[in-house]
Amino acid sequence: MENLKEQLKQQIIQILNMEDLTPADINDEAPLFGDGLGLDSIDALELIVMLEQQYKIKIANPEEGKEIFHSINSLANFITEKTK
Amino acid sequence: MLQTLINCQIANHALTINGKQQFVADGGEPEAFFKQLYQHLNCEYPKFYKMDAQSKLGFLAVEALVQHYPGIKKFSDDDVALVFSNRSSSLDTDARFWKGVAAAEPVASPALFVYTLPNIVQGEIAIRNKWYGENIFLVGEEYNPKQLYQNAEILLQTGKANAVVAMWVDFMEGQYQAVCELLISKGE
Repeated sequence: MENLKEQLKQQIIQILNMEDLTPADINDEAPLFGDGLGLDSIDALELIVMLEQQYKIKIANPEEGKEIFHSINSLANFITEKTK
Repeated sequence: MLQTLINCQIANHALTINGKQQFVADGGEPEAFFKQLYQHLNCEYPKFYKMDAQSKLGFLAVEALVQHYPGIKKFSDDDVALVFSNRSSSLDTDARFWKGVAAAEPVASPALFVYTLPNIVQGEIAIRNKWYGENIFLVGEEYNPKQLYQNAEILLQTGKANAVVAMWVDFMEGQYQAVCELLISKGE
């Protein structure tokens, strides 16, 4: 799980061009959107594409997105659950 | 009649203000130069990194303009109009997006897709500077300052704006040029 979280942080930094950040700057529990990492709606779409491309996971219900993408922890838990 | 308050140009890995070179990079890829210039200008605007090359170019030209002509801040948010033009529209980014969707394993990047219009650079600049005045983006073969001035003059004469940021901003396959001027009516 820790490896997955680290990988997710690296992917988020790379895919979303967050050049000022390192994985160590991203707290596992901090919100990815709003006051936390400050991601926006376009970033959310990029994360959905990332899940499809890198993890072969499609989000069937967009309503789920808010919970899934809440934090690194929630995203890692979701991926772990789906790839069991 | 128009008066130019400041002229900023970015080309050949250099930033020039009113004809005087302010910053030169050694070389390298244009986007590496843009990053160096961003750091030189101390912009502190992380969204810069998410922009396409053309938006970065236009953004930096206006950042340099605002820093070297702070008097622009006296204009209210509806006072400043943006009159831009270029040759390549958003073709450089369009091509990058097309390559993604045409690949063996297609990727339709939403972050890239949002830049597949030439006037997105105006949106980025308007958001950054909180300028909500008139805007127009013209696409033509060559840099035609007369055309920019004519459009600026109409906006100023009709009271639609009190200042105009007029800019030629073009990026295509690593070739780039930005010529950015702040214009007002003469005598004001």
